[in-house]
Amino acid sequence: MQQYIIRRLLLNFVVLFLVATMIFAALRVDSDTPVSRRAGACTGGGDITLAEQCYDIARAELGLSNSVPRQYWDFMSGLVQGDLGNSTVGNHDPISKEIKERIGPSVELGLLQIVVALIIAMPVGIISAIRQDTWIDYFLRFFSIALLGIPVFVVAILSILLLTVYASDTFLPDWFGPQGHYASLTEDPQQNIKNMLAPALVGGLGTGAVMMRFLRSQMLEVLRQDYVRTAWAKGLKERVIIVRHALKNALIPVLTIVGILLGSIVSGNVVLEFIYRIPGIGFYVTSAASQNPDFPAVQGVVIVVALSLVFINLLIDVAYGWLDPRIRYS
Amino acid sequence: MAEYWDKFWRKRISRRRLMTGTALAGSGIALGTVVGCGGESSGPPGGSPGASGDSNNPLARVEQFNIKPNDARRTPVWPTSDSGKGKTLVYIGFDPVVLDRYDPHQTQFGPMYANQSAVFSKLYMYRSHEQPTFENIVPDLAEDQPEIVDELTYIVRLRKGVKFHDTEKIRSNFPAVAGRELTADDIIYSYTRQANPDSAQRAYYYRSSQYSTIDKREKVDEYTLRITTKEPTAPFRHFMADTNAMIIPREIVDMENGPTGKPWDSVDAFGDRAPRPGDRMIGTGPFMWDNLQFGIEYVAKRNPAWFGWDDPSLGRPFLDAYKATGQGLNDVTIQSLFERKEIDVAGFIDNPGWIPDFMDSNDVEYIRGTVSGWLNTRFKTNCKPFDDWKVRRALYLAVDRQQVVDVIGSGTWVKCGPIGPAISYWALPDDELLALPGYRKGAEREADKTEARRLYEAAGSPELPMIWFADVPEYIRRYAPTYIQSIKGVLGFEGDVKFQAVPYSRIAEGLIKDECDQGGMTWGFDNGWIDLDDWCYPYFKTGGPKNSFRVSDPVFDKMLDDQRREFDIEKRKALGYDIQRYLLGITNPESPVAHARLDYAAPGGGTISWPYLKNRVTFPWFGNSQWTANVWIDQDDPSYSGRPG
Amino acid sequence: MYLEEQAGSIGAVAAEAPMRKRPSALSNVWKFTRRKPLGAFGFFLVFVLFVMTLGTPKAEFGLPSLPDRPFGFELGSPWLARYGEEANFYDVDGSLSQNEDPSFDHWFGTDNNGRDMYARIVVGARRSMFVGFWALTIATILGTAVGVISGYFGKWIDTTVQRFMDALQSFPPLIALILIVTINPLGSGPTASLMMAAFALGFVGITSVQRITRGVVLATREQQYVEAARVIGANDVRIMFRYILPNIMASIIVVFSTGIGVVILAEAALSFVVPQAVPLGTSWGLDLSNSYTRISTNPNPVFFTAGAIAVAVLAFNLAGDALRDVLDPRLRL
Repeated sequence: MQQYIIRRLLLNFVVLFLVATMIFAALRVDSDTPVSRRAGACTGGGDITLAEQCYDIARAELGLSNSVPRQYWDFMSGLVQGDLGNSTVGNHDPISKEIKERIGPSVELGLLQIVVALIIAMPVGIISAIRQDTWIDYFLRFFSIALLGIPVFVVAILSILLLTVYASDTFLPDWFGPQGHYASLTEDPQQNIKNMLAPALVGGLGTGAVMMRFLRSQMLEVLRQDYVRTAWAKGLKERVIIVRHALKNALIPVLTIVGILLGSIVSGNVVLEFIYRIPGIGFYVTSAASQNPDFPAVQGVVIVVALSLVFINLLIDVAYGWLDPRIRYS
Repeated sequence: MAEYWDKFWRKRISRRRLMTGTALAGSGIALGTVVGCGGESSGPPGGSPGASGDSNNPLARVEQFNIKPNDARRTPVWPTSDSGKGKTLVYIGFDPVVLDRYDPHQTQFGPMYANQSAVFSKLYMYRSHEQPTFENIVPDLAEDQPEIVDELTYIVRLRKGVKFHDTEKIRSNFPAVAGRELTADDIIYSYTRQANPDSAQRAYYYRSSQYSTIDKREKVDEYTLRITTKEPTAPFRHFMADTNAMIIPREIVDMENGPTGKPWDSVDAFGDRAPRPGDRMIGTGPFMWDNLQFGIEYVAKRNPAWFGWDDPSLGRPFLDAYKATGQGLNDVTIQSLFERKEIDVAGFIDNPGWIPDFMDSNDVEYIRGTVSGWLNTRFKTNCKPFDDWKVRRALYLAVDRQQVVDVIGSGTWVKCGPIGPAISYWALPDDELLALPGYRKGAEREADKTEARRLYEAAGSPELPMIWFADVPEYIRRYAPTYIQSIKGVLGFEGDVKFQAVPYSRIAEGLIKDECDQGGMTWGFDNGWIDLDDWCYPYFKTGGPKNSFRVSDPVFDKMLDDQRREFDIEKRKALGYDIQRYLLGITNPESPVAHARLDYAAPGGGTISWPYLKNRVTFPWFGNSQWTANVWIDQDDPSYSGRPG
Repeated sequence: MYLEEQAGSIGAVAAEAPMRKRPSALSNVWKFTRRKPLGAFGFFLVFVLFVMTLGTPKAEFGLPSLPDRPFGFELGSPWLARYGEEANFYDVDGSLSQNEDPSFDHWFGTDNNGRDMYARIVVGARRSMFVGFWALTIATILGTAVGVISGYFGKWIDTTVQRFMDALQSFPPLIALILIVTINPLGSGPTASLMMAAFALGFVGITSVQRITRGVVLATREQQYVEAARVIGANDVRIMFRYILPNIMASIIVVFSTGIGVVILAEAALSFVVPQAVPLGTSWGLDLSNSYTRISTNPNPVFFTAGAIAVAVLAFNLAGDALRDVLDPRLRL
């Protein structure tokens, strides 16, 4: 086990090195766009030599005037020291500071989504499994299929459409619509709840549907096992059988999904952050990659996301082996 | 404009019948600023008779709220008790979206001017754009109007005791500036900097042509300076109040050597040079730079030691702070936020369809107007087929400006001549402009179409080259197919017209290159200007800094020079009309200047605010946030109840 | 309906004894419909979407490009579209028919540019379907190649390839998309960049495709018939193509059909969030982002485009799920 963890840790660093190199290379393929965006409409007053200067200045400001190997060296040596560089737009703040400011909302939203998903999936999945092929099962399965099929962002948009066009006079848009500003939980709890409620519900419904299907099929499998039949034969109560014998075993694969979701929350849910105006990491990196190109920001976010992803994966695998003694790592 | 709204209103009623009892909310995307863009104008051009007579037309109903700057209701009122002081003003605006540099002399991005204008003061400032006379260009840092010795010499006296911002942070970053008194040296520095031919950043001083009209800047004493221009320059007083004329302390500029070997000469300290640009925003204005989070929010805090213009005893600014939050919300959300008073001002580019209903049940103030900025097409007149005046005129006539207004502007935009209608003093009057070929409607429009086709065929029905459409704002490239289709229809052109959406930087690059395959015909949005000179001199003067058209017309050059020498404002206005008529091809359609640029439409819209917000003023251009010093929130006003915070 | 027949026949071959008469295609379809009614409904919707994209072919050949030349020959405007997608409609008074409600003339109403929404949705289906098709083609070809090579050779090749795949997988997908679309080595112009979008979407999908195929290869590699082939002297390429690939075909078909829904959704989401990053043209995502800010003035385009995206994604999900149940029930996607 110890050896396995050490090996995985080493491999994780290899992966991170690859990620850093790939994102660096991908951004350098076209470094003219950010330069010309930064130069804006600078024409040097129509003077061609002055206009060239606009580009030189912009290139220097963006840290792109050095040779590519030099830039790579600077970037990598910075990374090793834990320095992600400075933003090339606006206030030129350190990327680590920018990420620190934005990671909170993303993680909060991600966790809330998982909570919502679990709250929905647990009872629904269990009921649907133990009442297999009854009308309630069909009803619940239909809903989960519909939620699986209809993309989260369409659900979000349609809900906003319905709320604001047909329920504009009620309190609903206030609580479930996009908010004008964002406040963190410590600043203004009520505002924070308003910010998070709708995206957590909409996002949680989608993931909840996945979990529910998983839990249902696992439950069905477990319920047919011999030891469950034995438990029935012993005359145990249904509640005890389901909670003690079946659910415990059926939950392990569900944990895997939760793990995967945990790994992905750092990168944020771009679409929901965009629609509900949550200043999270997904929103940040999307605008840093498209609207106002900011290489250090994109590099930094990708590396931080990869870092958390590989280590959470490791944690999950370790936890998995611990939860299920049948799994052995060598 | 009328058709759009008539239709809108008809449909609104029919739709309401369908969804009984549900209020159809909504309006466009934000351009909501307290003092900034989206302000008053002298009313929509061609306040068409049909429109105002129709009681169903929402615009007809809001007309009365279109308050002129000299209106009595625009006279400031001052708070009488402490319940008029404090609080943070909140609005939705572009202010936190900064796509340009921080340097006050280098940026040309409107929202950045807006942020900076409350932080940095100028010698003079606009009180209104209606009459660009002494009366409306008022002293800011200067004590009084400039003393004009002769047509070349201006003597400016400064207010005494004006201090730069002073906070803990500034004291630790720039101990020499914090609380330092402003002197004539600072003005000389700020004016010299923008015309410095040796600066590493020379290319980025967008208004350097204005400052290169100055011959000498002399310090008479600490509070007096004498400025001499090279030639008589009538718009010079405007230059001192223009958006980049901000006075900055020398110390905030990063003068370490940059990669070019020269001193960097910019407020945007690059890389990890400290302090950060945001920490260098130290001026003498009523508000202090607090925090700008890109795309999320911008916060400015009250400067308690502000000099307070002519009346320091008032204790302005009244607000503790003002906060602009990110744009990009949809129309319904904006309405809902305004209704809940989470924002004090709401602004729109699109339909103010919900406004009339809202005004029925609430006492709110709606100010409508046009923005100084416009959509246009530029030709390289040295390239085929645009070297032929007939092709240019054919396109000029073929363009359906009403369609641009309806599709892009949802009927709230206005048709625009060579000078934007927002600048109502200089722009050609609507009575004249809207009756011109290319601008008129109805049967006359049909005649224009026929004429366009005739001219185009007379020129030999040439193929049009690739058209470059700007890729932002989004609506431009979305309109592109519709535009091309309508042009092709009018000209009877069967072939393919290619087009491409490109960034502005690429357009700018293409425009300065001589090749005809790059930017031969472009379609984009241009910043609006304030003075007559800004709108025409740099664009059409032979060799002018914005002359991407490659035009040179000695007759027109003389007209441009004449307006610069004319100090009588009424006579200058008449010269301005002549210039516009020349550009519109009335005087001489065959001149290379005529139709070198096609002007389409200028953004219109309005802002709505609750009555507890006092002394709101709006301008058609960005960069007047210093007026937020007058703004206050009246907590005794009945409408104040229910406002959170 | 190639996939559907395939589904039926493969399922039937697996389930039935070799001596019986081979059932007709029609009876297979019927059987599938009875066993998987939701899946059949999904296939029906996919069929409808496919028909929406069809137009009169013209004898103009060239490289495949989107949306008008998806397979290398020019397709005219779709038969089902009533009008051109860019045609502007005018009222009697000569002004544009903007933001009209649904009527007999315009089944889904008109948008802000006075264009028929129904026509735009039909034409937009072409972009969604073909981007989905091309993206999945790219993803399955590259992903299968990577998965087969990595799984077959194992050892250091597997370790190296898998580390690269781990690295790719830890990119936030939308960022990878935006980067590839903006880098765009194919040059500018709407067609090139649309193929690029398809390539980007496919590229992002490589990791999950290769994970599935690699798993199947690892399991089949040790089978006796593969060993037998090796004994009679078949080389690696022959083994991979003749003995391993046919075994993972079922999984690939399932991955392909389920993946299209994911790609359609990704394309729509990308166009909605960063419209400036995707190529111009008639697209559900772009139309949605266009009408979203005018949601209260005219909710119809929002409703119909969002509905179209939902129906398309739902259709491919239902069809893919049913296919999986029939072809490869153990596959975890």
